[in-house]
Amino acid sequence: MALIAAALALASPVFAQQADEIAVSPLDREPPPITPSVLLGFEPPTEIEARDLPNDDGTSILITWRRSSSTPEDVRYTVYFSEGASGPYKPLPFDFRPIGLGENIMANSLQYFRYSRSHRDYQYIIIDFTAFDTAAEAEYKRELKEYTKQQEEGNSPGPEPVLHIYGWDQLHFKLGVTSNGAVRLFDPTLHAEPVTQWFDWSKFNNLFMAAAFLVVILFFIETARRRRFYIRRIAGLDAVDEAIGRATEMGRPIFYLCGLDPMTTVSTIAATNLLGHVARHVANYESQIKVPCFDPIVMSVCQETVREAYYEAGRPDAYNSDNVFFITNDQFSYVAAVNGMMVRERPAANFFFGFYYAESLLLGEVGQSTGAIQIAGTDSNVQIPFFITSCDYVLIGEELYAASAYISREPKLLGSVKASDMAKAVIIAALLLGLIFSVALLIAALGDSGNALGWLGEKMEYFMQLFNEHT
Amino acid sequence: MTFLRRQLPVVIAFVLGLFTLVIFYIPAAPMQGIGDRLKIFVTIIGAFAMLLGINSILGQHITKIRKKRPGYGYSWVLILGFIAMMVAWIPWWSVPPEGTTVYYPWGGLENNQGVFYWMFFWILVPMQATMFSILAFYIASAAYRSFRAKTMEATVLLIAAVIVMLGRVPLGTSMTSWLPDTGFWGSLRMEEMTSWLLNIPNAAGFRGIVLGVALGIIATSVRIIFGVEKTYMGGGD
Repeated sequence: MALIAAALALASPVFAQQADEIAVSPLDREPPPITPSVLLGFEPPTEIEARDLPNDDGTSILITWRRSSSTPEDVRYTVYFSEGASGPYKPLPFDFRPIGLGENIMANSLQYFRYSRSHRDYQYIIIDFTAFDTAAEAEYKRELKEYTKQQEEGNSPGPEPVLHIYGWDQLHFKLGVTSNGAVRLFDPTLHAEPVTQWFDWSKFNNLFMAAAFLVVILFFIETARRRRFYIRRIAGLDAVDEAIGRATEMGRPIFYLCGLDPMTTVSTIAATNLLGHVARHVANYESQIKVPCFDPIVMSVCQETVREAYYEAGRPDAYNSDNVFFITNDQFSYVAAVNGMMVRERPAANFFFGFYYAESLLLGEVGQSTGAIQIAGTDSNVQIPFFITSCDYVLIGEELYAASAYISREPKLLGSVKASDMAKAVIIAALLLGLIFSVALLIAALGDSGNALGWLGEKMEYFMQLFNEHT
Repeated sequence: MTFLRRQLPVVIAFVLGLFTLVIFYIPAAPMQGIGDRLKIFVTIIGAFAMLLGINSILGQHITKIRKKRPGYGYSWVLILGFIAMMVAWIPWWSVPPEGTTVYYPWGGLENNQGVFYWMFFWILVPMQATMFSILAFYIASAAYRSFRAKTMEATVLLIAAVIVMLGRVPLGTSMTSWLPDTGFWGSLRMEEMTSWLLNIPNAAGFRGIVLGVALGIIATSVRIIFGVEKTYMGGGD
């Protein structure tokens, strides 16, 4: 009941003319269980500031403050606003949940703030200015509807509603605390204007890593022109030729599926890349490939890929566009159709490449029951076990992306695969270093600094202490 | 012609790929607005491509009927089903005034007394549910094949699977409920072993795969953006 009363009170316009003034909303039915004096009985927060929210599109500001240690636990921080520095200050015109003492701690929000130990005592609230405009528009629509209704009923509708436009440069705020409908606002009056940012500095580490990886990839692609790289054997890709040969001998078709994701997914692109190689082999062997598609755009790309592959193999006459076709983009209807074709046509080989969902086992098991040789490759890690149980060969995760390079042996493609391996080596080295440091800290915590790890742990503790003192 | 078929797609992939990459780092509204427009383009192209898809499936089945290939009767079912769903979906009414509900015998998923609603929920949904429920039987057959303890690896898989399955059902957890909650013996409780298997070795394996996939995605994207990989356009590498 108290919560409902507080919510009702917050929704009502409570005006606070002066700083530190108590504004209590009228509660006719029952008095609030906590008296307003509770809000006066503790030290107000300090260092209350407003500034532009960094790294955003110029629509939000940030209000920060150092929380008071004497604040009662059931008190929550809120924000009131005014369209001028002198007031009156009103509740925000949109839904806003006041925040508790343990919420929105700056030290826990590294997407907005750099890490600093002292940030544990600071809290923040983000005010999105576009929410003012949205609220004004909703209010205008509501008033207009009521106005029209009154007009239609023949009543006097009063003045025609006007859309209120908030001047972003005029908005002023005050931080306050609220408890059971009572509100206490603090000085100073806060004002800040959102500024559009042209670079998101919080993503700088991401950009740095991406640029470094890009340089490594381009370096290896360039190196691949002069040097031959070794790529470990991938059994599933070695079996592609065997599967196509088997289909040719048996005179049965090959089914090639590109997964259920659209063309915008990289795994689908990888699957269509691989389709080009498989189709070329199929054309050379004079076998038949069927590509039932889940997405019409993927179908168009697959038709082009297969057609070009047949042309390149010198067998344009053998290409039949009807063999690359769309079925449906409904998951289980697609599975029913493909499974039906598998049972009727008994393909000699099934290739499942791309991204799959729950249908992976349905496809794999039916294919297995027809005696087809099956090769799957997916980056959907939850479906990999199902393919492993039902297929003869499985390309796990990244092997799908390396498949095109592996089959074509094109030096430039092999170079990019090698670059991925290098990046993986760096990540493994970082993980090992982290593991060594964790063990060293553990040993040092146990008080054993006699051995090398203990010594390392002790030094790390010292540096961590230095870091915490200076941040 | 070679320019249109070979070079132009690479140029488009390079410009738009690089642009999409760059706007990831620029929060300013004008750039994000262009990014949002590009996403709308994808939706529009998808809508038009659906016409190609419909043309493909109907063309296949009409040819089958015309040539009276085996099972062409099912093609009639498909075509009639397609027409029935499409006709029933078309909303055969003007939009009713706000706040009022007008029911017509045909059309619309919103109209729960219409034919489309009936066909969708009483024909299509049960058929989809039937397909999905077959999965349970396939899981059983796949598990039977995989868990045969013929090799060391298969034996480890079998033991781990039995522990995880038992740790997930009340009967399994009750088998070890007499063990203490804490200490060494507590860690041998079925639910604890299940939790350990899922959160430590299983999560480690998954994370390894995810890391490899992420790097593979970046490498493939770079290959496409810089025109190193051109197989998706068909033919030559």
